[in-house]
Amino acid sequence: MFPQLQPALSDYYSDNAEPLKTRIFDSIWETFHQQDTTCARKPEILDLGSAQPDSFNFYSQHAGYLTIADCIDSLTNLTWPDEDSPNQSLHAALEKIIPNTGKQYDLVLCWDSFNFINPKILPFIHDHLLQFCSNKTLIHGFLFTSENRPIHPAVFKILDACQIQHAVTTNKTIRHTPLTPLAINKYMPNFRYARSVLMRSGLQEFVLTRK
Amino acid sequence: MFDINEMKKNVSDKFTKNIESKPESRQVLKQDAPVKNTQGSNQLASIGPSIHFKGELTGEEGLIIDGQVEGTIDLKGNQLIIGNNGKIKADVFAQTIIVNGSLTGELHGKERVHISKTGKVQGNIFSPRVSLEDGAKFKGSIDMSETKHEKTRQNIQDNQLKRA
Repeated sequence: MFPQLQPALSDYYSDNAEPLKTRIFDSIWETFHQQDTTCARKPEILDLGSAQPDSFNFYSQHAGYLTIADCIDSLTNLTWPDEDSPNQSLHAALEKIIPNTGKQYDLVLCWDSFNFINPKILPFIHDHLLQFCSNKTLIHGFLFTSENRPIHPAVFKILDACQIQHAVTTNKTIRHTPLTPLAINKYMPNFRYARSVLMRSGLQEFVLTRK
Repeated sequence: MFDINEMKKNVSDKFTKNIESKPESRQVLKQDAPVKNTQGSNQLASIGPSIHFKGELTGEEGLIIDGQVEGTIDLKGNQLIIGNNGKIKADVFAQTIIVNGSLTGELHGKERVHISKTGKVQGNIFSPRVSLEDGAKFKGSIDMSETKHEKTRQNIQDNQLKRA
């Protein structure tokens, strides 16, 4: 059955939209800077999104080690396998999508990917991400609060710690059941919901910390 | 081992004309001009689109690659430009690396690495300065600490010596 397409969302989710005012993202970097001065180590970042020039400029000033996984499309296109051993198949697929670099990251940036990933697959992503996480790793992302969402993930560009520009690649929307940070917590049991902020743009910024 | 100086002598006039007739190649050279190598000249050696090279490529002058190279490229303190047609599967060491084509491997840019809008890079970058144009594709890791750049270079050279 084809998903029911809705008219375009209001202009809050368009190329011309005001940059998102990201209070949580800002506070994360503030904490990193404080740690940077005490332990002389810049944070190590895993960005699941695509490489963006603006974000690169930001990372080159603030990050010590960065991995651009460029895997949001692959993650959102993952479907539940029709096989006898779906677990094995999903673990193998995730190993290809986000290969293990042997690094443990301080921050994992998921952007709006969790809105598009099949919730049944989220526990597998959780298991896979655990190998990249220390006991202080943070997971940052955005959730839609509205019952309509665009059909594709957006592109996010970091302008600075408190401003992120998001550009949508389509104006078609679809009805969905919005996830809450607490619901995500259920799928990702080794992480604890730390904080979330409702934004005027119809998105909710959230951060999870490792338990 | 393969020496660029040796190879440059053997490059035919026809081949050189081919490279220079490519507008994109000229554009790259113009964009980064004047390019000086360690010998003080502005000239870049070039590997044309029809060349397919496998092995260890070393040299002490700047190089533009529009062909295919697999293995290792070590230009010490010089500039490497991967042209729009360049397809590289190699670990690369240079002062500055500019990618207009596609590259899979480790990039060690002592000064900087730049990926242009037509560039596609899959691999790890070790450089204190990394820049990216809108439209460029990159998948991999970036280490911006300079000390690791030298360490990794030493590790790769040690491994090559062991293999030899």
